[in-house]
Amino acid sequence: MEKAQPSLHLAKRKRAFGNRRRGLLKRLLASKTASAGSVLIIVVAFISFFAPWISVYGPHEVDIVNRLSPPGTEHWFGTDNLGRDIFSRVMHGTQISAQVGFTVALSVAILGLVVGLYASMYKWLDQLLMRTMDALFAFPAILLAIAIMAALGPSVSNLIICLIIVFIPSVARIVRSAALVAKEQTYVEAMHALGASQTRILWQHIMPSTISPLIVQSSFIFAEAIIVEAALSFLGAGIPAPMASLGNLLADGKMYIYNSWWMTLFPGFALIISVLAMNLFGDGIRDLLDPHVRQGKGKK
Amino acid sequence: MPSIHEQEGGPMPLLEVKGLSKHYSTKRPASFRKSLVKAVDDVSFHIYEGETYGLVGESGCGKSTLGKTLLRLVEPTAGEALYQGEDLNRMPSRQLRASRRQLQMVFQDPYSSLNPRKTIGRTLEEPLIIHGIGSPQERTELAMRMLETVGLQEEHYDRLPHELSGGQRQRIGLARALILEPRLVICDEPVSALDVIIQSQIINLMRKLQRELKLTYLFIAHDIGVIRHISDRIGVMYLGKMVEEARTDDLFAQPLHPYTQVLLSAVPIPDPRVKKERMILQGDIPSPLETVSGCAFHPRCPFAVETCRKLAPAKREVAPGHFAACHLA
Amino acid sequence: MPEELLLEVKALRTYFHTARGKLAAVDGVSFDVKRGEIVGVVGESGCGKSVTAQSVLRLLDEKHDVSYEGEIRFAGSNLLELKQRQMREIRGNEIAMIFQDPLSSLNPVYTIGEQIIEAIMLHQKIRRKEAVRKAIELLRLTGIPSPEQRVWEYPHQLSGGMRQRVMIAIALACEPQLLIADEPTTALDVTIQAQMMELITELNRKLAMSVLLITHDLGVVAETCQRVVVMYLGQVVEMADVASLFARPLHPYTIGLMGAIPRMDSDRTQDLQAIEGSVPSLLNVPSGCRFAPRCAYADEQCRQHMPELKRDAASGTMVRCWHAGTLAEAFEATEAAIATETSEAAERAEEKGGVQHAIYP
Repeated sequence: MEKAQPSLHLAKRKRAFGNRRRGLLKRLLASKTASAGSVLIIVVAFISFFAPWISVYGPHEVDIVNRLSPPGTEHWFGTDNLGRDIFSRVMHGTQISAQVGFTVALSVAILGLVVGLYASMYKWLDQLLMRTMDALFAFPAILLAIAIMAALGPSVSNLIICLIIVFIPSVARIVRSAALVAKEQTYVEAMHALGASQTRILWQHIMPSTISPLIVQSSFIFAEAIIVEAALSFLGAGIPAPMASLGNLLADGKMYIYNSWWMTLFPGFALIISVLAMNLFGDGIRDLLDPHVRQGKGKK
Repeated sequence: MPSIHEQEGGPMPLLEVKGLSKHYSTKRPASFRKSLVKAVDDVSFHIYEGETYGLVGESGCGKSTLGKTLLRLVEPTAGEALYQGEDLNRMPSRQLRASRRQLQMVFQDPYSSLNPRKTIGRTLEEPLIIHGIGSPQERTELAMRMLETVGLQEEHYDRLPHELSGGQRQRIGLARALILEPRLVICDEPVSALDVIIQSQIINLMRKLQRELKLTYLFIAHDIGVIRHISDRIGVMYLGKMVEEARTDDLFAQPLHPYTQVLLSAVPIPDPRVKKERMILQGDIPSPLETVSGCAFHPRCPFAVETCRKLAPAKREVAPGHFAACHLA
Repeated sequence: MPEELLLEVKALRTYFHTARGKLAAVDGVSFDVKRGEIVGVVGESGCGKSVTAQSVLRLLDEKHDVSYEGEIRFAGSNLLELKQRQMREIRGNEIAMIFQDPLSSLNPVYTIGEQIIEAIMLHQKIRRKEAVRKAIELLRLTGIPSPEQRVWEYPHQLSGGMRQRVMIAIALACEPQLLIADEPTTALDVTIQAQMMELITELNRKLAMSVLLITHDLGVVAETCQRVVVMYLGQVVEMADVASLFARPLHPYTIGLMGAIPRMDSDRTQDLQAIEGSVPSLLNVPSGCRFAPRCAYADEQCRQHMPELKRDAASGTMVRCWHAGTLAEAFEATEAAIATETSEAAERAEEKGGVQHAIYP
């Protein structure tokens, strides 16, 4: 009978875990900002994933005869100065922007987490990190990005590397400060008293409390990365020209803005939606995760 | 419960602390000068197996720092802490981690001392995982048994800390410390954050566990009634120094140090028929930042004489087993 | 001294309107405070003692969704019927309050002098120079050394005990008739606590100021209060003058509270008498007597029916228990046993030559 208990217990335990997860999902759906953000993200993700199948025309298909034709049934968003289909180019542009944004956000989250956590543990690393961060923060993000791109040369992978360098400081700082707060909690001291190793304490007990600010910050970085990517491409320092990134589309439209407004409007709109989606999601998640952490404290 | 090891020269103490000090240097506010804070200053005492050693004093007297220094949660500045003859302060960290199986700690705040994200079961199994004890199934069983030992039920296994009351959380804190079957448990104000009734439950539980599991306690508290109730011997601390040390009954029958006398007389007695003459101290507990010449207590001591201002008194044995650091004792 | 009622709380109910329904944190509490008297309110956290105190000043109104029933009569008027503007006239002026945490109750960006002066000028039409003089006077009254210099210091420059003295000085600024002290010494060390209680009783004597002392410490109550109200889960379970409460506690909860404290004269080999369990949540208040689930003496009657607060014929104590009389006798018997034991112990100590014996009972 004694033996039977734990296994019975394990079943209960799994159920409890499921409940807790379902609770989070439920609250995600209950929050208006978070659910609006999620819906927009799904739409954007869908578009960027299925872009090649949705659009009839290829993004690079040149049709000189029908250049600069306004939106209509043939070309929903019209065509550009080379007769390329704007609808197709916007969708491919969104795809590239989302890919860049996602890769940057994910890499920055992982690297920032590692750097931030270890900085909270080792003083020398903290000093090194913080001084480097200060130096990086001293430049405006765009200027720094242009300088790095100039050094590396224009390509998608270089752009991603460049954006990672630009955004790591802010994430590492946030992780570091959350970790420093957690480090002062008695339960961390209790782990030391139990004889746990530094690595274990760092990853098992301090890391979890940095996750929610990390998720929130990463979603904002996702949005930021899209904007900076567009800005760089617009300035010609981002994704190389023939590729259909949103920044390139806006740059192309600049010349024709008085006659062919659709060349600027639709990519601009796509940019707004993508950025808005991530920002709404980030805001919603922040509101959601904060009270969850607070629940455990302050009984009276 | 008088200790069985009444005299010096008995069996080897479980823990022997010699000249332990913890000094911090802190920047003074609005000044470039640094000053030395002697949080713990040249403290020596020993704890025998199976007894409860009470450490009492007011906030800022260094009693908590002392407890943490023993486990090297705070690195000591000087001195030795011999656990079964081996100096904890000189142990390499790997060996220290291993010896932490036998030296455990219970913390004051039942709210912040449990990780709010981990279930109770996970919290209890964590020490077993750290020290590589048992299979997952055995660990679960051990945790369940421990829950029962501290008076909780199996259903608490899956709860998160915020679902429990303060008293229940402190039971978990106790269970976490005891699951590794330690010999010495350092209890840092384990009941001071609790309501009186919950406090009495936890004190009774701790005494029961001590009997059943043959534990040795270093019990740190500021509540004199609690210290008296649970301790076999008591050390009184003031500003980082141990000013008096004696068996509980001796200390209460005949406190030798003026600070101990003041401390005992300050305790309100829940009986309106007793009208006691209270010794009320002038002034506040001085900040450890200010250095005092001579006896640290002399600025507030009602009996201070010229010697007290000049010379720091050494701890000496005034009666058998009764030590005091006072020129007048 | 005339037995004039200063504060009279009649069948007070304080409800919190929460997402999970209407919770009665205070449920039918009646007591009074006479002029010049110190009345203690004791109980565990969650018993409603703080909410009762805050209801008197209606401090909950702004932060929470609360409603009240019953009456709180202070110097003739019902505080529950007053408008917020009228209530502000009373707060700080006629009834003052001090809190547990003296650091968070003081504003860190103003000197303590500024804060005392603000309290004075809020209710009294006097010139600033006059107010400064009065602030220094108040600091001296509360026992702060060199008040002329201290008055221009900031809260962080003072120790915990000093800050509590400043809080008392602010509370006394307008010579209130009633001081409500909500756990004033809980955050303080025992020697400082002794100083504070000495100060409060002294002010009570000197200024004939009534004090409503909220505390969980029965020792403090025994030494300073004239009358005691014991609360459990929003209700008064026992109310008596201090002497009879400690000599002959009637309610098992009061007896339990007393048994839970490790006393300086108790037998250390015995376990403390600990009441089982903890205070239930207001969300599931037990039916019948609220203390029944934790009470060792509870029977079917207790679990079914709520006892009324009744006067005990022998002592005049008000008690809410079906078995009040029988329990008291049992308590007295054990007390007597302990008393003989301690006097014997004291004799033994005397034989040993107890020099400081006078200090200890």
